[in-house]
Amino acid sequence: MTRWHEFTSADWDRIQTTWRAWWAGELERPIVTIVTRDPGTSAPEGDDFLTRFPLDKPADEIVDYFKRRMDTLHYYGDAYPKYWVNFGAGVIAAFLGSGVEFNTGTTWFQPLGVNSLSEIVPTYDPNNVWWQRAQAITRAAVEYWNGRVVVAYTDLGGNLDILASLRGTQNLLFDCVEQPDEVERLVNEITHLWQRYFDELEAMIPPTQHGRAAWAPPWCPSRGYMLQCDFSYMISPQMFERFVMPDLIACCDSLDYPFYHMDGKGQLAHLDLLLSIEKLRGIQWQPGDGQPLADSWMDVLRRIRDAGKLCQVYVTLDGALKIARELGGKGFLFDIQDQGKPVMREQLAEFYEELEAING
Amino acid sequence: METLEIIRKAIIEGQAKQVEQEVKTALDNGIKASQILYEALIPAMAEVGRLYEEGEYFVPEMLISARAMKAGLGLLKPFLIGSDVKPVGKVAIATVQGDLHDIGKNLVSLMMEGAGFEIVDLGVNAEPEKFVNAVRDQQVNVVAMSALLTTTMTRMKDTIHALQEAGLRDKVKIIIGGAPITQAFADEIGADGYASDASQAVTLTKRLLALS
Repeated sequence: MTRWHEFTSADWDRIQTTWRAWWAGELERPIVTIVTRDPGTSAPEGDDFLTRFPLDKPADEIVDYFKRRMDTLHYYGDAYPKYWVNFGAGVIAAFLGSGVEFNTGTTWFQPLGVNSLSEIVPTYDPNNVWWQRAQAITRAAVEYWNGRVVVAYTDLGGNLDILASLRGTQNLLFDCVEQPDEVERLVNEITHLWQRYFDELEAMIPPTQHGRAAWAPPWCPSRGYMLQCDFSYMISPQMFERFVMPDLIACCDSLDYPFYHMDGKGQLAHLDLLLSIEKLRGIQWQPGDGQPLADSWMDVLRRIRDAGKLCQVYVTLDGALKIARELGGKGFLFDIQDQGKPVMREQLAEFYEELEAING
Repeated sequence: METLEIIRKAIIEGQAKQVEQEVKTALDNGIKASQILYEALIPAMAEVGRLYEEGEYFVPEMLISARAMKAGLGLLKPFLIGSDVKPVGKVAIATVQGDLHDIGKNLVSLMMEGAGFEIVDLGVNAEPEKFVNAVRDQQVNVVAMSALLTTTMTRMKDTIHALQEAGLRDKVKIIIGGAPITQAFADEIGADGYASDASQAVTLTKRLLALS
């Protein structure tokens, strides 16, 4: 058990060695990350969202608030200390002009209110207030932790998801049928902007920082990201191939460690296409709220593994063992989420003992 | 091809303008609005529901078809009002308090409308009192609640409780849906049923109202 300020050079060496081996397919056991919080210090709903702070609140005060929150966290296994600059999923929509609302514990991006797709002109605006804010918080976090914590890229979003925020989800669903060429054009333009925003954030991370991370658990030695397209839950594989695949491939080409966040069974229709992306390193499978946990989807996990991809899931300790027993642990990343219950030290000792027995 | 069959096909293919044109032609040729409704619009949406359930249609295709159906229904409504054609039921629908997602709710509304129900759309982020008022003041006989978040699905129980407190629970059937919702959750909070998608919501409502 280690807190962020207790991480030594040896700890960071261990993190780097283990994770690099995992990415290279040379780690015979799974990666296991467990982050727990001091008893009685659970965060209020939506507390992590930076959109809930007034825009004139100084960035260093916000970072200090999160520093105090991080003081209560303990890192087990292959977990590493990270501060994620969280504005909500798909903040590029705000960079491109969407209104931002913090409501009901989360961030909502408001549509631009245009009558047609042709009125949307995605343009990089260096003075956009949310882009300025994202840079200011990232800069303050980088400066504050000075390499001792991984400052994770803000959640830029999936390209079609960003367009859905700008246009309104229902309008975009109609557009996909009625104006497919325009959808294609805009998604392509958003991809170019996505790459620009990513590159500019990446340039803010100093070489002294121990690796990279995005909102999800994977640690990367260099440029890595959890790509996504939640909108694809609603569309056919034909539309996915036309509107999503070219941009996923372009993003994968510009990253060293691309992963894909597959959220909900509606996206399973696209799994074969995703697995065909050569440069995509792995899939995060989240069955979705109300569905059985990831360890109940062995066929999906097997397909991912058999395609030669890495796989990240959120599971309980028992769930992780179940997957390791049935599929072997190699290539998996188990982020342990024990249904809100604290993970006890005794449980962990038993867990690691059994995991070691499974993986030899 | 017979006019009604053309209308039915145009709805399934999502051709709103063609639907409008053919419905006008049908009315001009003396076909009763009720016949167009029961023999073209409603069967077309039932077919769209089937195609969705079988994975041939996805949400965009379903929405396009539903919009075409609405275009036709808009032309029929003036003829249906005052006739002996009554809605098969009246549904108050909304996304529950704290939740601003509306696609699922809109799809269910459209499919319900396409099945002959009258819809009272209470929008998103609807507090329990909105449902209570709709049941009391607008004589709805079905309440349909949607939630996409685990943090907001608990509001469904609050709404049911509010209907109980107002003495209105027995006057309505309550159905719920949304990504995190399950039949077990519906049973737990005392809803009358759960539907996994818009097409199932129609089937469930018809069953609860003994219409099928």
